[in-house]
Amino acid sequence: MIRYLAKLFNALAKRQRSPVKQSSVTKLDSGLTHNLKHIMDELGNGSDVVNRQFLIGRSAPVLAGVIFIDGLVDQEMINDNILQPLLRIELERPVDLDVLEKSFLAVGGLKRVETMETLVEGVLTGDTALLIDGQPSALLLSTKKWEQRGISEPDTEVIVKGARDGFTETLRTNTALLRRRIEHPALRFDTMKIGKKTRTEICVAYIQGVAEDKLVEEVKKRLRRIDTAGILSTESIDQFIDDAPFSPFATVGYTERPDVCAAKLMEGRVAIIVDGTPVVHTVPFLFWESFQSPDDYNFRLFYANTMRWIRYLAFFTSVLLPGVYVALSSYHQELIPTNLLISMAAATEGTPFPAVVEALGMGVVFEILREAGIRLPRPVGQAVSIVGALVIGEATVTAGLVGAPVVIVVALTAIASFLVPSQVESAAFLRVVFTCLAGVFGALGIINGLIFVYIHLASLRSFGVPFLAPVAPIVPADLKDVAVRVPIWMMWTRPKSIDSPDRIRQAMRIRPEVPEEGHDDDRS
Amino acid sequence: MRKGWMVLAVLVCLLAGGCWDRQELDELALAFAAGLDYDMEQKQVKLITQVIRPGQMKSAESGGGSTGQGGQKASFILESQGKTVFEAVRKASFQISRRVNWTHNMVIIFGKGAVKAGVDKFLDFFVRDPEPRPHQHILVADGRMEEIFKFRPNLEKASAQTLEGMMKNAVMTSEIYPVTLQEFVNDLMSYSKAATAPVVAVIGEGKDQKLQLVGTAVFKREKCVGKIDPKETRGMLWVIGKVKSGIFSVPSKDYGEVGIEIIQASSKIQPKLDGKELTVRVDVKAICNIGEQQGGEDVSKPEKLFRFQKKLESEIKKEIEKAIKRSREMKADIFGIGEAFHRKYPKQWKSLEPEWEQHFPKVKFSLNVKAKLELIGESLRPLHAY
Repeated sequence: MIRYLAKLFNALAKRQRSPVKQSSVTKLDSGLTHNLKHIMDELGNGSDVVNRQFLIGRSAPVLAGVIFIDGLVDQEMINDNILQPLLRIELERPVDLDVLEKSFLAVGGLKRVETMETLVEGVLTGDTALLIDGQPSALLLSTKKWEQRGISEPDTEVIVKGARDGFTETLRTNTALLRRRIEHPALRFDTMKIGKKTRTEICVAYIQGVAEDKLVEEVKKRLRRIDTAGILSTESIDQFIDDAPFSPFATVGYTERPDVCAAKLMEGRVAIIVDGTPVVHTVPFLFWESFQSPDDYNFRLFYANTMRWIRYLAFFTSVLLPGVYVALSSYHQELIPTNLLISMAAATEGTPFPAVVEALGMGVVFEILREAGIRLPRPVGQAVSIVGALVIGEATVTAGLVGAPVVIVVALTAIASFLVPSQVESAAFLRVVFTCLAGVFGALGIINGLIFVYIHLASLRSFGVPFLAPVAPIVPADLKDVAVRVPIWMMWTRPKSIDSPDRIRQAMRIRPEVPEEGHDDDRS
Repeated sequence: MRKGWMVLAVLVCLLAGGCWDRQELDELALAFAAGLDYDMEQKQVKLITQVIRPGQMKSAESGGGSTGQGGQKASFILESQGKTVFEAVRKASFQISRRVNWTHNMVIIFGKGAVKAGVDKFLDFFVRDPEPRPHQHILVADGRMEEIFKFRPNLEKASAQTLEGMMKNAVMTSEIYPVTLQEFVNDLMSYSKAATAPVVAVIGEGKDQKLQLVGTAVFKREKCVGKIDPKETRGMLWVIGKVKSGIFSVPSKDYGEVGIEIIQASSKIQPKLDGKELTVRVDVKAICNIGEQQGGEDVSKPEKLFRFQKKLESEIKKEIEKAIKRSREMKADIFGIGEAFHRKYPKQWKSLEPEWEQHFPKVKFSLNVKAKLELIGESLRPLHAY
């Protein structure tokens, strides 16, 4: 039966793949009313579509019309820079588009279009269409402006020292933020539209000469493969171009910070910016990037490295702690120091469930509370956290339903997992797996699970780069930012694992030095 | 699809095979001390197990020592018997609702009967079974063993913890060597070296009871051949280089005593075989500090310090000689001299080994003690006025 289903599925897929003829091109008509009617029909006579007809010229008036969508355009600009000049034209001969293209219109972006499709598409992105009776073409005037959120600090990636701006939902703003940071002409934004219905604008950003051409091509190729009705967030883009869709580990990185994005571009990575979401994706994404925070580069060396190690520790804690607790308390009591064992035994005295059930149950309770805390309106969220902390945490222990150690372990694990934001999802999944393994096999299960995870990690690739690079395979030149972050002036090459054609990032001998004697004699 | 089935099959195998040795914390009875004795007439091993109650161990109420909530004591005793230790161990679990867990056992104590019957046959279980640790301590009980188990310590909740702490503190005087199961078993298995174990006794009556380490029992193979006192024990430890710290009192010339602290000590045993004559050169080096000066001699003067140094050397020598004398009496090689010969003269050792008991008392020791007084503490002049 399974084989039959597979056959059926293949047949369906084949039918899907057969190309559908659809790109019919409609040339614009020379009659204005006809054209306007056609456009209005195409747009479904929507209530937000504004259609205005007027006469241009005194002595030889010509009927003209503009069409735009309210809310996507700058009304003031249309009035001042388009309608006013046009209505004041005093020419002897009748105006045509060639004249208007050259003069009168005080608009920056201007495009001559011949077909109905491009015209409608332009209007839908916020351009204003100007048509003139008797001419089979039209002008698309760039008048885009809509309500948008201001540039604010992203909530998900708050840092202590450093820039406070974040990407917004508008693609143009985002590209501008990157241009502001990288002023070199080699910064490229290659745009494409994905989604038959949403026609989402997607921008592949990279620095020519720094990013490998093959990588850029690969990204574009994967994006072009996406044949879907709609892209609503970058997350769905991420899932379309992922290397290992069934892995708990993401092989596509994300950031909401322009400074982080710019830094990744400077390393030879490629960014994917999607209109309508403030989350920008970067590829290739390597495992160790999860542990790098922008603060690492802003803080002093030793503190930054300490924090990085705390992050490594927190990741291991969040993945393994409940599993290790379960393994130790129900299989390997000999490994627990005697006094700790007495405390643990005293705390779990009389609890009804085995340690695995306690750990998994409290883990689920935590996830419920966390989810509720995110979804609920903020004032109610407070109540949830009180209920969570007091009622569930305290009362379950007092009532003797679970032991206090489990509550401590789960709480510590939960908090630890947030130190590494880009691995929260993988950690949450692996934590459950390891807890179950520990509950069934003890330490043996944890060790074998770890071996499997390591093998899996080593098998992953992100756009051709091994996921664990530069540790496995080892790339000595790139170890400068894995276990320890070396001083910035020592990072004189770009990551070799990403294989940028332009390997040298900065001069080699730029270590800060005290000037030699005699140099600073201008003190006197 | 085949892959899916395989994954399923593997999962079923794994899940069906797991969990078999799972033991929750609240299903365990933690044993802290094991007492072994032997009933000669019935040929039964008698096992006393000290089991703790974790809840009572943690209770803040520590007045009176060991009763916690509900008046329950923090530890209790299980007594069981069997033909083998293993049988007695299983029977101990049989008396209570939980399984006795030996992973945190701290001490094994031998009673009189066991010492008489030979200790080796009781230890095999503790070495063979995966649960007991090789680093628990071996003790010999002087007097009734039950008293040690029922002893109510002042600081700790169970007497096993007190004994464990005393073993750790043994380095303060080096008059007792806290032997671990592993070392003890190694010595038992050695043909020449005599194993030793500290002797513990409950001294006093009623409320004034206290645990005390009264000496060291010497075993030749499995049989106990005698006991040496704490000073003799330190004499032995000087030779084998196990003196860690300790206090000496050397009389001051005019008045009172000088307290000297051993900081560091080492030894070197050099055996020499000359025809039929066995000689051993023992070099002992000790670094000491002056910790107390009751008298009026100014130890900041080098010549005075040297005098104490000489005195100290002869004191150490005296201790060692006493230990040698005792060991000759018992014909027990407590220093491991035989092993030193074995290492240096492996060929000749083959003929020496069978009669080592006869050879050992005739071994000539040449002692070479070097003591060095280094620091004199934070006061220069003696407190005692002339």
